[in-house]
Amino acid sequence: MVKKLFKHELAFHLRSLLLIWGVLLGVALLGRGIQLFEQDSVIYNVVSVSSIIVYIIAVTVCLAAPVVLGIMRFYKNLFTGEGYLSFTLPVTPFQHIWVKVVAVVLMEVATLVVSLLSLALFTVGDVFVEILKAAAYLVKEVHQVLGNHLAFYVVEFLLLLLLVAFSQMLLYYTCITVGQLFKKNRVAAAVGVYFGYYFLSQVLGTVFSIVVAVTPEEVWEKIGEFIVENIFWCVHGFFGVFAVLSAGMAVAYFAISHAIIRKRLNLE
Amino acid sequence: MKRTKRIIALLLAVVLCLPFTGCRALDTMRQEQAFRQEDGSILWSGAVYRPLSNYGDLNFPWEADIPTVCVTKPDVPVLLSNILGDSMEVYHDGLFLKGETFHYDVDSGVYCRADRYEEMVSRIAAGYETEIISYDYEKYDEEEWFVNATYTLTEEQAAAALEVYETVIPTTPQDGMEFISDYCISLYGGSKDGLFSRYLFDIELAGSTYYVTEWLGDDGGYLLYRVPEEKVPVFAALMNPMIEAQDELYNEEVFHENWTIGEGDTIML
Repeated sequence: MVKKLFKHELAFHLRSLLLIWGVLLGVALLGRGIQLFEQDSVIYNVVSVSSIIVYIIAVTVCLAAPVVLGIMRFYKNLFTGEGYLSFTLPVTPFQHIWVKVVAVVLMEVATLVVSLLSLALFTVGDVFVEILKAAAYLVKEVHQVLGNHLAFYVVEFLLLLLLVAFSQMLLYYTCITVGQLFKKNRVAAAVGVYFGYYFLSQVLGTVFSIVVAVTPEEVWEKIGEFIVENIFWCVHGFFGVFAVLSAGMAVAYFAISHAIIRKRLNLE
Repeated sequence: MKRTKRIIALLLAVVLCLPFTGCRALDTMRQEQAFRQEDGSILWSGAVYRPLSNYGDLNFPWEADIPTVCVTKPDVPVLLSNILGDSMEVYHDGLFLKGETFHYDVDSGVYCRADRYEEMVSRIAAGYETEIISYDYEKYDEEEWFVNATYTLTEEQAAAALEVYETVIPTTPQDGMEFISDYCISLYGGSKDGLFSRYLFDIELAGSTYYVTEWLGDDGGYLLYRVPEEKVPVFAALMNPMIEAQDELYNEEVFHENWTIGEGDTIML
């Protein structure tokens, strides 16, 4: 049943995303086509710059689309009339949340791939080859400095990115879930919960800054010296700490959403 | 269905043709990229440039849009040339490259194209005779507001300027007094082909009196050679292009109060 649910989630996302991806690739192709008429004229410059701006907007919209769709899907499918049907399925709340977040993250990855493909299309030809050459050169230069640490940094960074994607989506789910505890204006309540969370994170950030400011300078000097002497391993540590933090936050958000759906579900 | 397949095939054909089209911006960047060789020379646009250990009085005229190239290591891709390269200015139709900014351990100085390298080394060592005297000034331009212009002195004017400089007894300034002119030009003596140039002296107009002036540096001070009356018309014609241009550019405003200084007077600065 979970597989079928997952398939339906993907089908929902793809119904909208395929169209958005198609538009993005079309805009990229159009932008590249405009470059065929390259010349020194005001009209060409205006059209060319406009095509670049339109392309950037298209990419931004495309990258935001899976998140927006994921939030809408989560709310509509579980907390509106559709929820009555969803919760009659032989699927636990845990599986509902899990399938939805995995589907969204998968679509985010797919959208990223399509965006990179559109960039390749937009620059296809000489420019794309030069971009690849520049990227290869930079990787070579960075590898000369970092050595074998580079490969591990890349893996750690991708893993961190994935965990952050999960964590961020689960945060939105938690805001929606907490919002539905209110009897009226649940969407507004969800937005309010998000801003409340943001405010709290800013307060914690300020507290942390104060702690940093009042810590004696000698402590920071010692920490600085340690980092400089062990810079490569400290970067691994940085990725590790933030990965654990993101994973922890994701688990917490998941647990909150799961608990509320299991015990305090209040459909419209 | 057949129509859809035709449209898709056409789109694919267009996409497949795109890689064979170029990009002008990229072509320009390629033209402006030079490569540092292992022997210290620079390779640019098919020509080798060797460093000059001494460039004497070589002339590098100021222009609004001096062409530049980016010198990089041979393996640096063209898209990174502006970031990782050293900018060098191109002079005299690509005969010289002169360093502008430095990011790596690039030698500062001047590079000469290999086909005329020996010739230039000999000419720099031998020195040159002043064949033309000229000065630069700014003149009004409708599009740019002002552009750089050059006035080359006629033989009579050049001879008159040199004669005043070489024969008139200069006035030695003393501490305390200030000499302020209304108009000033800096004369440069150069070769006919424009490759060599050096600063000679200034000509200044204070009120209605012309002076040849020479700045000897912080330790040497200022020397004033007052132009004799009989030579004033020649000097007036010499400075006229600059005066007319400056008046037009700045609406004939006189910037400083003018003083007339008599021959033999001591000027205190």
